[in-house]
Amino acid sequence: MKKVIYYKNLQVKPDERLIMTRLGYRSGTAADEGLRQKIAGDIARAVALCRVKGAFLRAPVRVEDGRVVIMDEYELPGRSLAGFLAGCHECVLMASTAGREITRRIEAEMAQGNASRAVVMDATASEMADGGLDVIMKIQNGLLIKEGRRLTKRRYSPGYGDMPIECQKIIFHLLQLQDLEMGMTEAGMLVPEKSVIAIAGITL
Amino acid sequence: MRREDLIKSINEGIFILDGATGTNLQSRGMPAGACPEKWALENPDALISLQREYLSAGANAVYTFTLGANCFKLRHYGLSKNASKINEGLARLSRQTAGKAYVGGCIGPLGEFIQPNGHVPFNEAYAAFFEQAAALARGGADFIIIETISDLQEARAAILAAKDACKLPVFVCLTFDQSGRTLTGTDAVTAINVIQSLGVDAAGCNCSTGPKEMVAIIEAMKSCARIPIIAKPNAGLPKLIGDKTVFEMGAEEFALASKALAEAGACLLGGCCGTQPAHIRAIANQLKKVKKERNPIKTHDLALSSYQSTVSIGKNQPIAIIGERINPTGKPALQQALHREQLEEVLALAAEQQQAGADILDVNVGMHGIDEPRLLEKCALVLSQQPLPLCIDSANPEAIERALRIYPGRALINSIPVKESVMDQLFPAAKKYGAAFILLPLDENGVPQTAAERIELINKGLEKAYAAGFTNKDILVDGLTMAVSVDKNAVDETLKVVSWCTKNGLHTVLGVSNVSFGLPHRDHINAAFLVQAAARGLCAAIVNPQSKPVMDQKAAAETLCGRDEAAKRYIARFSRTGKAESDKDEAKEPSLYEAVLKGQSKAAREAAHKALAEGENARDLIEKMIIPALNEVGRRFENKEYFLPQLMLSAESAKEAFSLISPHLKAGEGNQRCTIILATVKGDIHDIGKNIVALMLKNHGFDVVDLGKDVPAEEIIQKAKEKRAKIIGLSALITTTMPQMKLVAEMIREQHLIFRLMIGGAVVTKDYADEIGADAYAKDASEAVGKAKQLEILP
Repeated sequence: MKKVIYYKNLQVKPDERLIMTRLGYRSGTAADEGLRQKIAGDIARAVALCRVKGAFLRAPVRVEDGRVVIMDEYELPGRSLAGFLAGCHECVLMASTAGREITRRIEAEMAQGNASRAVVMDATASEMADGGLDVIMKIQNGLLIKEGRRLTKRRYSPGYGDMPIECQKIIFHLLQLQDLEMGMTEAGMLVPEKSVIAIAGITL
Repeated sequence: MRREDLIKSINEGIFILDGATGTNLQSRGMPAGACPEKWALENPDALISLQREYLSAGANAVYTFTLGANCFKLRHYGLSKNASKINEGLARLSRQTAGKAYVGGCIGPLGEFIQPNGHVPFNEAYAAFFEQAAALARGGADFIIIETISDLQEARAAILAAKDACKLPVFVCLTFDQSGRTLTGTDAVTAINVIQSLGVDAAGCNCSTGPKEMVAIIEAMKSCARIPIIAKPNAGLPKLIGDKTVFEMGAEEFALASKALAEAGACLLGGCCGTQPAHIRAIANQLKKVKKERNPIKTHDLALSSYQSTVSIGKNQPIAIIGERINPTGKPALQQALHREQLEEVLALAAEQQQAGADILDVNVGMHGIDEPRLLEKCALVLSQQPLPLCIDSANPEAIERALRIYPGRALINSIPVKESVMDQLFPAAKKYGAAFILLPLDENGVPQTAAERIELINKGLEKAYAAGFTNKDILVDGLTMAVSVDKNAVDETLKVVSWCTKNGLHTVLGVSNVSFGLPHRDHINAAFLVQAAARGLCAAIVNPQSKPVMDQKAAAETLCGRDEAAKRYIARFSRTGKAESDKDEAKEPSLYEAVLKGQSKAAREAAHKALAEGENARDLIEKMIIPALNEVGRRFENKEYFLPQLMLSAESAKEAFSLISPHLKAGEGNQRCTIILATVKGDIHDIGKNIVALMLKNHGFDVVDLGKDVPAEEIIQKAKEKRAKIIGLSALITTTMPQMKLVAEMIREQHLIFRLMIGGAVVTKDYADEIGADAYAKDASEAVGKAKQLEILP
């Protein structure tokens, strides 16, 4: 098996607009300066508590008959994923987690009745985990450019389209995510809660 | 002698470096997939010929072909044990080829990130670089060049190793992307500040981009560089032609663009990917005509850096606020957290202080019963994730040294007293790890009472510091703040020291909060003292940035002292419309309805208290004020006029008011609504959505029994029976746990139970609710309240 690269501290700068969008903010939503400052403070707290780690593996991929086969061995079902990776001979498997501390703090804030802070922290942590994948893709694109190649602009996560959530188990295994202190429930949910797995293609 | 000649050559004019090696060797027969270094050793003619071409083109130095010759990378070829031999061999080869020209012993990245960004321990990386540097020196390199590094911490490990392994000059080049930052987020100013503090002889940028795009990076570095700057760009940006990556910039165009790099401040120039001897010949010819700029040093400020950014400290800068709150003294919660080595509280304190306006964070973990060196090191590593530079605060020199070694920035030591034994121990540590320090004018005899005595000690400490190679850009002098309640002249003596330091070009710092010790309402004394010190040129203050009076007066003082151009920061601080509006709102004393609507918990509590005191009926307050307000909040949320934080703030304020009003309800006036069992289904561990629903339902008077998350269907049914619930509410986030909802629905039917089932969650839909026979589907918490009210009245 190829070697998995682990990142123990990905430098993620969350996009505040995306956090606000996760919280349901739209143009026309009333949010005065005082509320914005409170939210900014809660975001800063959450960011400080997130320890974004990630993992990355470059692997050969074959697309055939509406299915994706990684390393000639591991099959990922789903026609939409097959369409997404069409033409790619290599792919990257990646994962990112915001860590356990932030999850504990969100639960504590909710238990203490600070629901507004908890929801902001929850949205921030989701964005931080997603941001971890952005950073991994940026790092890999920086290396791939020397080969005249790049990653597909988008990435695909189990549970979206027709890619079953169960695929997380295969990618979890290939990335050996227990080495990042991550785990998985029987139902295929990632632990810590704010974690995400994805696949992207390597293209010209 | 060779060292002195090299440094002299660099300082005299433009110093030409070589161009790319790997890509040129490929075109000269090196097969793809081979270990490049091993191939070069076995086929030396190709490398010798290429390096001769570079020297003949005008290069003053060639680099050994050892960029990937560290034991980590050689492991891929099963050659990690041969690292020393390969490096020494290739260095000898270049040495023989170079003749009188210089040879740079080249060290590149490990290919894996080190802590805190990766899993490789700092000391393992250090050992790999040490092995390489020692071998290159044995092979005859004239200097060590560490290049193509994209992580500041990795650069630090390599620099420390190279300086320990040999006595050769050390040059360093990082790579930056087009945003002007390294892959791990360090900007060019921060990179040069940290690197030059570690005592390297030249630093700059290689690879990354073409020469045109590199100009901005070189300019940024030059703005605070005290050492020569290197630029070694690619031959333009890469393009893909066919299936090959091509760098298209021709030699003459490259040379013209390199001239701009020289004008920006670079004085060691060469080429990276895609460059050939022709490119080096062209820049050598072009730059012969360029006179090296003797750019004066642009700043006298002291600069501290975190991993990502830099703070300048000086008498014309804003007063740098050193947040003092990461200190266990008088903080039981922090003490407990530190004992358990749970650093979540430390990170929270860091975030709060940053938010309040801190520029630097003081970190003190000193207390009884802990291993301070280990804990301080751990804190320094954890806090390297946040953007503010650290002030390492300890009386334990071993703890300070361990924290400095691991911290990927330029930290400040708090502090070094004028005691021979401490200076002898900490000056070398500060020098080695590039730290600045606070010079404390006290000695074995304790704190001098008068300014004159303190100044005498400052001079003594400075003399020793200058002799150790420090300059004023490395030192903050502490004026020593004493409690005014103990000695009415204390402030005057301290301020005299600050004035003297400012007059003599020294940077100053005060532990401001000490002045108010023993007095009530300390913030006012602290703020007034800070204003007085600011007028005398104080550069930095150790204070609590969350003290509003202190931070307000700091803003005012900076404006009055001309340290806030056009009062921009002052205006920004005091013209925040939101604050003004909230002040207005507070002044109006909102009704209970308004307070809940606006999510103002304190106002809601006060309004409820006032209404009860005025004899209002408790039930009326709930039914006529709180519930209508919550309904209006729900309506606004549905219409997207409000978003989730506002929904939650209103819920919190309603809860606050309820807690005050509930004891005044008469018997039978309490929860009038039915009991609801809430649970996140078995296998599902995400429950924030369910918790929000629980909060909302409680506020609307439902008796909510929250079973938590990952709850089996049997337990849900059992509890519903036990609590005589009317409604069961279930949440699920992913498709694999949704069947648990169906299981509960089936159990209700099979056992002929009369519970109403309501479901929701990220992947749940109305169709799914219909499919499994649930009574209701709610898309969010607000809708769940409405649906629960509908279900409640069903038979």
